[in-house]
This record gives sequence, structure tokens and C-alpha cells, in this order.
Amino acid sequence: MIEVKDITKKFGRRKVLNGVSFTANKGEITCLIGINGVGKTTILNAIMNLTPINSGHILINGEKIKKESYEKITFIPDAITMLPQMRIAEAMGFMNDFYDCWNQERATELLGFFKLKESERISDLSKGNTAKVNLLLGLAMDVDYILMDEPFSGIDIFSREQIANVFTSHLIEDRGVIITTHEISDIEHLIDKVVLLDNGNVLKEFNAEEVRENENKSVVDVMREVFKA
Amino acid sequence: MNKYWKLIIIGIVIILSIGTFYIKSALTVSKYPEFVIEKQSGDESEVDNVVINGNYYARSTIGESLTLTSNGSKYKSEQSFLKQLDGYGGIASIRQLKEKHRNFMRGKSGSPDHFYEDEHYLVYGEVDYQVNSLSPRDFRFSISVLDKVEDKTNSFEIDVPDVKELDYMNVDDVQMMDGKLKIFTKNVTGGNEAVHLYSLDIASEKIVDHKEVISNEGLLENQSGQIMILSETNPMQKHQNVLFEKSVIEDVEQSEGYYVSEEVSSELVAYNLETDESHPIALPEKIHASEQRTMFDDSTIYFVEESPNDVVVTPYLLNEGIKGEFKFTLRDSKNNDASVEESKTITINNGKVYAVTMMMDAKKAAVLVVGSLKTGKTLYTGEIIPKDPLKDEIDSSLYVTDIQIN
Amino acid sequence: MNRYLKLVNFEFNRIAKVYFVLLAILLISQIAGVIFSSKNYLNETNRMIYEELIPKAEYLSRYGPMSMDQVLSSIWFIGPMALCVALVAFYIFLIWYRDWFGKNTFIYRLLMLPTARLNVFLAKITTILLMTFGFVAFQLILYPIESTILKWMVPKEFRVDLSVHELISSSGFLELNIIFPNSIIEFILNYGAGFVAVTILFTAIMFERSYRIKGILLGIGYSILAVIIFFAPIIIQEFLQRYYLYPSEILIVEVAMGIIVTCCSIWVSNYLLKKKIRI
Repeated sequence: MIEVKDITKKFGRRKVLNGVSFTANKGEITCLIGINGVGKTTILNAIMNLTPINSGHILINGEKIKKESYEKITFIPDAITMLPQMRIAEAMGFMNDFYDCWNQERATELLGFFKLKESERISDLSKGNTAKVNLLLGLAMDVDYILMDEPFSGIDIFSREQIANVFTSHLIEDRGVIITTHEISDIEHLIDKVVLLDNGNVLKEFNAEEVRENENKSVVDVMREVFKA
Repeated sequence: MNKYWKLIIIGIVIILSIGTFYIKSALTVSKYPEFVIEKQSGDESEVDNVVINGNYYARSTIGESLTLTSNGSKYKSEQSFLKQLDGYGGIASIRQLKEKHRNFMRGKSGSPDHFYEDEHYLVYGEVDYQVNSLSPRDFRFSISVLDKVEDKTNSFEIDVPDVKELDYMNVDDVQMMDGKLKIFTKNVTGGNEAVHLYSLDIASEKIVDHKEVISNEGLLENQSGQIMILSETNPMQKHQNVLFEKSVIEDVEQSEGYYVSEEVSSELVAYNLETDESHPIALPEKIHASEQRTMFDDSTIYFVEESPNDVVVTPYLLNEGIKGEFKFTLRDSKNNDASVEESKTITINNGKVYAVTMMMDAKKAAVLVVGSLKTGKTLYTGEIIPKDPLKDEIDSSLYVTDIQIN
Repeated sequence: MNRYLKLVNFEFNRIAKVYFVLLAILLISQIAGVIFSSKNYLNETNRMIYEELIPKAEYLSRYGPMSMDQVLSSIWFIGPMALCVALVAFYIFLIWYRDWFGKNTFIYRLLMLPTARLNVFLAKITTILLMTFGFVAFQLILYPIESTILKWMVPKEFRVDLSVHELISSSGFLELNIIFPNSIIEFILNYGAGFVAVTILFTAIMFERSYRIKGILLGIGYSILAVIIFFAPIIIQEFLQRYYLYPSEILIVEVAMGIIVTCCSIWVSNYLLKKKIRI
């Protein structure tokens, strides 16, 4: 379980996060939703210890993040984390070199799934394919948790579908996923848990399944209610 | 492992290249020839306390400094790095003091003039002043006294009195007499030099007396006075007399407002510490102090004259006048004549003169002579030669920079 | 440790292409310099001796023999060396900032490696050291080759052969003594001081990367403080005008200060990387 407890974050005088708390469980897809600039990316960065927070704390399986944690949790930011001059094979080699949890078999499988060629240079890839490589590098790790920052933004429709297919596949099974988005439509039916954010606060945290079953509302319906109010 | 090939190659290249380079330069040092002082005639023990500093040139480009004693030669680069830092070469007497009294010598200047030593005391006197303003100010004596018997050090500072309008001041000699420190200083005011004597009582750390002992008077507007202490064979030892050479310099106008300085007069003045009196020394006609090298050892002034193959020393006793004229010949075993422009390095110590010709190469050996200044006898002659024949004969040479007596 | 070595290898490979190109430039330019200078000298010599009919001995005493000294002072020789120095100096900064700026966000990857982040810091500083020593080593290999070419081109009576030390002391470029010191101890001291300086700069960069604009001031402040601490023994002596320590003692104290300052820098950098760094 990833526990985010009452974290605040200031950039200069501007408060970006104002006491945000939520939890994300293994085996569930948790979606952070909010308009751009509400600090979704900052939350993911904070979980990965890529930006210091002003107060609060974050626990992964009950512990603060340490260097070994990066074998258990991975982050797929919205830009590729490899050097543009690298070939895909080199990028995979890098991951294999540094991570014990790297699963080369799964990586090869994903290459086929995304129809990517190992010999291609990252700088030569289209935007969609770059995003796929980025995703591949994260998904081929045998980790418990995957954080994804806006995996669909700025990507063509076919790539989107391909990526969305990942979420229903065995690649995601049993893992805990935290995903941020400002556009829910592509994955609405996939997500288990929703955290609605605005002005650095959690407006509502709810189970998408329950809302769907009990209140017969879609996630978008709930969003409308909350944001209007 | 294959992935690391670039790293492995660069690592190997670095270690091999830089390693070989420094191993090779270390080996070059040990390949420098060893030099010895070889006796030609006389008593070998006369050179036991001689230290000759010089530079060895292998191919006439850069010199490698070395020190030569009766035990052979030692190159600077053979010494440990830390020893090299603390002063290789330099003045032997100061270096010895630093070895013997390391803590006392901390932060002391390297000039023997600032020291006085007898069996009981080692004394240091220097003037400190602030130079970080337009004119120097805040002149003060910095005194340290080491009681060698009781192994106690006493250091203190005293402001120098009457320093208004002083441009500059400099300690010329330090002496001790009846528990009082006598400090001779050269004080410069408006371009004119004068010698002052300050008497300090060590026990009370106070200046008990201060007077101007030598000055230039009646100078014309275009004249300035210069006073130099006569170099002493051993400035640290106790002596009764201190000698100064006093000269008047005149600015003479050449064509188009261009001036040159000319010396118009010069005389030697002795100051006797026991009688507290100064009196001029009337030198005989044949000696012109200013044109010769002079050295002084309390009772005798030595006038030294050189010709290509000879050194002539004329001792002048303060109370008796000229006492002989002694000639010492420097000629190597192959009987080469020294070239006219070649000068010698000469020092006088304990009534003996030590002279060495300045260059040694394949054709010519450097010659060392020790002569008595009491009898005029040559006590020792020897040559500086390589221990083993030089390989690079033609291009190798050794230049003597100075000779010191320990 | 293993991941540290992998990181060093990775960092070195990132710059390897540029680095080897620069080595090639050094090689080609310096050898060209040797050839041009020798040719010029020979042409001039021939003209003087055969056309102006100046006797050989007089020519030599008037114009001097040919040596590497004359090659050294040409832009062909010293230029690429300066370029190498400039590259290393520039890369001290670029080695960090290239990970933050540009299209990629490689710093995410580096900070998310399952290894102490300090290893990234150490790997980068090791890379800078390797580059520096690599240049020095390469130049030391080149020199005998260049001397040999000079020997082929200029006859013995018109030539003086110089070793590296002789060349440096007979040329006006005494700065070269810093790069190629006379003894191994001075080599260690010079490059040790360089290492201290690079750790201070890296720490200043860590401050900037952690606190951005405020960090620039903190970084400059830290650098000044580190320099003051490093030179404290000398500054105190100068200030008091009391030269209490012998030069050898100052050296030992300075070595100790260097170690202290380096440890401080690494400790501060480790703290910033662990707790304060921002992507």
C-alpha cells in the first residue's frame, strides 16, 4: 500500500499541495484527477522522492522510500527517461544493467505488443512510439507499484488504444497503479479508485465500482457534481 | 566485460603513460653525475666544513641544483619533497639554526643580520610595520630571546620611538652586551639614510636608549646619503665594532633632463659598542674600499681583489692598519688559464679565505683554494670533478653559485 | 560499488565520442604543428645559408637551433591543449545540467536507480578525473612521437632535443608546470587540489539544483566558505602577519584542509541529493 499522509508542498509562496492524503492499494488502479496545474505530477514526484515536500509523509508498504524501494516501485513520467541518442535495445540494456527487477522476457513481449524495433533510435521515434517505449521500460520491471503521469496526453488515437489495452492485460494484474490524468474518458471503465484534486486539496476519494453499482453514476457524473459544488 | 573496453583502455593508458613518465623522471635524477672535491695539495680537513651550492646543466637548458661537501654531492631533487619546501640551499647558518631550534625559528626572517648568538643566548630582532597604507606605519620591534641554557624563550614587541616621517627602516645588526640588546637599524627619511642604535633592556622589555649614530650631514639639494653595513664574515657572532660604508650620491644632469646618479664621496666609519663612539677609518691610498669586495670580522677588514687566476686579500686591522697582502692562485691540474670574465666565489671565515672558480666542464675543473689570512699560506687546493667520467661530456657543466662555511 | 562502476562506464561512454574526437584533433594538430614549424625553420635556414651565405656557425649563434620549444609556442600545439582544458572545465557543469535540460529527462532515471544517489555524484566526478588524466596521459604519449618526427626532419646540428621538463622550463608557459609537474608528489598535490575544487563546484551545482534561484546564492556562499576554510591556515597567517608555520607544515595542514573540505562537500552533496534535490 502507498500511503500519502497530509503532504504539503510550496513553490515559493504558492502552495501547490495543501494537506493531501490518500492511499493506493496493490492490485488496484488509482486515478488522480484534476485540471492541469493542481499538483498531480508533484504528488507522483514526491512519492518517488524526486522533489522534497514541506510537511507530511509518504509510506510505501509502511516504510519511507529508500534506494531499495526503486526495485519495488517505478515511475513513468510524461517524457522519456532515456537519452535520445540511445537505441531501444541500449535503453533496455541500461535497465537490465541497473535493475534486478528488470524482466527481459516481458520486455521482449512488450516490444512485440507495441510493434517496436529494438534497433530504432529514441530520437527517431514518433511521439506515440516514444510514449510506448517509456511505458515499456516501466512495465517490464517486476515491481509492485507503477506510477504513470498522463500516459495518454498528446498521443494519437491508435496508440491510445494500444496503451489502454495494456491496462486490461496480465501486465498490470496484481500490481498497484497510480495514474494521473485530466481526461478520464479513455480509462474510465478500467479504474478502481478515484482521487479528485483541486487547489491542492483532495475534494473526494471514492471507489469507482461502488459508485457505478450503488449510485449508478459514472466517474464523470461524480466529477461534475463535485466540481460544480 | 566487453562493455567496459573504453574505460579499461583509458585506465590502462593513464596508468602506463603517467606512471612511466614519472618513473622515468625519477630515474633521470639518479642518472645525474656525482661530484667530489678532490684534494690536490694541503690538509683535507680544511674543507670538512665547506658547503658549495651549484647547478648542474646536462644539455645547457635547465640547471639541477646540487650541494657539494667533502662527502660528495647531493641534488635537490634527491631530497624529500617536504625538505625541499623548507628551504634547500639558502643560507647555511640560518638552516642550521632552523634544524637546531625549530620552534624558536618559527616565523623568523632568513637574514643572519637579524640574529645574535653566543653560548648562552640566541637573539632575534626585527622591525615590523604595516604596509597596507600609503606610507608604512606602526613600526615596532619584534624581539625573541632564547635562553639556550635554561631552554626558555621570551618574545615581546616594543613600539619604535620617534618614527615620524620615517619612510622605511631595516635592522642591520643585532648585538647583545651586558644584558642589553643593541639593535642597529638603517632609517630612511626622505631618501636619506641614517644608522640608529636602539638599546633594549631584555629584563624590563623596554627601550633604554636611542640615538642616531651615523648620518650624512651637509648634503646639497641634489645629493642623497647612503649608508651600508659592511658585510660581516659571521653577522651572528659577538663583536665590538660595527662598520659602515657611508657614501654621498649626487644626481648629475646629463643632456635633455636625463639624470644619472654618481657617487661623490665614500668613507668607512666604525662604531665601537664598548666606548659608544664612532670614528672614521682613514684607509691607505692603495685601498679603495668602494671598488673592492670587503668583509669584516670585528677586528679586521679584508679587502679582496680578483684577477683571472688569483685572489688577493689585504687584511686591515682596525688598530694596526694593513697587515700583509696575500695572493692565492687558482689553477686546475691541467694548468688551464681561467677566462678573464669568469669570476670566483669567495668567502672568509675564521681568518681563512675560501675561493672557488665558478665553472666546471669537460675541459676545465673548478678549483677550490683555502688560504690562511694570518700567514698567507695556502692550506688546501682541490678540484671539483665528476666522480665518474661524464657520459654527455661536451654539453655538461657545473656552475657554482655560492660557497659557505658551516 | 558495482553500480558505481557501471555508472562511471555509462558516464564516460556518454562523452566518449566527443572526447576521442578531441584527442584526434590534439594528435593531428600537434603533429601538423611539428611538421610546419620544422619546415619553416629548414626553409629559413636554407635561405640564410645558401642565399644569404651566412656561415652555419654564425647562423646558429644568431638564430638558435630548432627545438620543440618553437613548436610549443605555435597555435597548432598549444591551441588543442587549451581546447581540452576548456572542454573539461565546461563539462564540469554540463555533466549535470545535460541531465535536466533538453528533450529527455534522464535525471528521473538517475535519481530512481536502486543505488545510493551519491554514486551518481561520484561517478560524474570520476568521469571528470578520467577525462583530465586521459588528456595528460595522451599528451605525454604524443610528446616523444612528436620529438621523433622533429628528429627525422631536422638534422642534429640544427636541433636541440628537449625532455618534457626541459621544454616547460625553457618555454614561457610556466602554467604547463601545473598540468605536468616535475615530480609525482607535485602531480598528486596539484590534481588533488583540482579534485577539491571540482567537489566544491559540484556541491554548488547541487545547491542550485535543489533550491534553484535561492540555490545559486547558497552555492556561491558555500563555495566562498569552502575556499576560505581551505585557505584558512594561510589567511590567518597573512592576517596576523605572523608566519608561524614552516612551508612543509603549511603543506601538511593544507592537505588536511583539503580532505576536510572534500569530505564536507561530499557530505553536503549527499544530503542534498537524498533530501532536497528537485527534478
